[in-house]
Amino acid sequence: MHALHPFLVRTLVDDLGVPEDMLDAEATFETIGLDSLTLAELVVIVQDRLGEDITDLTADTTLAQASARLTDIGAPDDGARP
Amino acid sequence: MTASPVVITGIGLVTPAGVGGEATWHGLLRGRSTARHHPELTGLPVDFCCAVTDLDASARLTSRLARRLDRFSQMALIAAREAMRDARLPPGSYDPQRTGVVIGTGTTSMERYEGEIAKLLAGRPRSVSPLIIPRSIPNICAGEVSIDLRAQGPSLTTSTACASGATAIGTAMMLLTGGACDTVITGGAESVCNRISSVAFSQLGALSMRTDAPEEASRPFDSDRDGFVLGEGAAILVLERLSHARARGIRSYATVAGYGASCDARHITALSPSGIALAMRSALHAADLRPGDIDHVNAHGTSTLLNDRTEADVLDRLFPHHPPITSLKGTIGHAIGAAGAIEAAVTALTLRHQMIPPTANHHRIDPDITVDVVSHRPRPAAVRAALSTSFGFGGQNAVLALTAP
Repeated sequence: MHALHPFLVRTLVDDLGVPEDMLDAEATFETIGLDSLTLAELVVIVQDRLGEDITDLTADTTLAQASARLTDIGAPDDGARP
Repeated sequence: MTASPVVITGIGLVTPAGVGGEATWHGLLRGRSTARHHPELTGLPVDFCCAVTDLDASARLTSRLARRLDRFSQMALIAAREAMRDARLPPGSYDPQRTGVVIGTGTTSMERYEGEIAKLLAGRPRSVSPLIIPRSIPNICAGEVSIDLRAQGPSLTTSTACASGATAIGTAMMLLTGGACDTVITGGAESVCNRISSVAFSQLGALSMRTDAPEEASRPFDSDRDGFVLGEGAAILVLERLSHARARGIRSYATVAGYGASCDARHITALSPSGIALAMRSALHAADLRPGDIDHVNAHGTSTLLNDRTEADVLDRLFPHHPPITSLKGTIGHAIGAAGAIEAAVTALTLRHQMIPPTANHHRIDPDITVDVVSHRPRPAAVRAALSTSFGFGGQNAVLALTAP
């Protein structure tokens, strides 16, 4: 599992209220019920914490692909939620 | 137009006195102020308010929905679901296209702007939430309730400051008498227990400064009052025509017999006796009632020096038989755009239970006031007809006349 997978999971659960038991690594943002507005909100939250722009998350991205992408970008700014 | 009167068949309440109609009613009957120091307001000139402390929105709405909604919408949705259960209108039992939603709100979701504007000022525009507008705009509250209940009829927001909730109910009544809807889900919601709202109202000189004893701060019509206390909450009523309610075999709480609206057309904050009297007379006229028919008034009674005196003078003049009055703001503070709806809902409960909740902290009446204020304990009373009065900044007034069904 990619280093930032737990960070992605915590953000989805704590900030967007997605039930944790839905968060299978192979699930896509669409299948976990994120509409385009909520996905845009996720991108802004994650960009804010990582301090880097993210442009390539879509409804069809799986959580595993997303955590790989975030892990490429780097650790969260505050270091509190690795 | 239809001749069938409009009745209240469901009530949902979220107030500092309790979450739910029963909890709020019993909290109000106790007549003790809910004002407390609030952690959110620490360090401000006014650091207390009447907050809803047991909202628990995630448990009541699911955590995903709760996180999508700003606080005023959370409270509106919780109250709306309760009102629909109370009216025995489960999903699928009503015609969505004939169901409307009208909800009043006075400010907007100010706490949302506090947080997002801070990001902008810190030079982080790209950190601003893309959802700030759809979460916080005043009409989203009615929009979210329509979505939640799949109500496809007219959905709109009224904003007449502290009269917003009463204006909403009056507007809902007109949608029903005009035949546009069979059912309207209506009321008010407001969340103002936040830093910017507290500062804004205290800078205006409107708030009580009794920071050493918050629980004694809101004291409507009392000689030692010094301003109002911020509250928050939501009240949602289900309105329908009596013929429609009878066909469903549902008992109603009260008839919304008349709605009177006016504008002082004089000053943005100071009440005008002629303006508020006009709204009261209009409500009586619409309800085909005479002043002597009024058995009770659930007053606006904010606990500010001038407004309480002006309202009491007008009540004294229009209703010389001195019907008992109460102000709920002693117990739950001033919920701004939700206040008129909360007070109308509680007036309906007074009609059902024949009981008037007391005005908290009313110990010694202002010597210049001659009205009969219910204080200390609930008063059993034969109430066939009652007024609920609401007056907003902008001089915008709304008065509802409710009668026993």
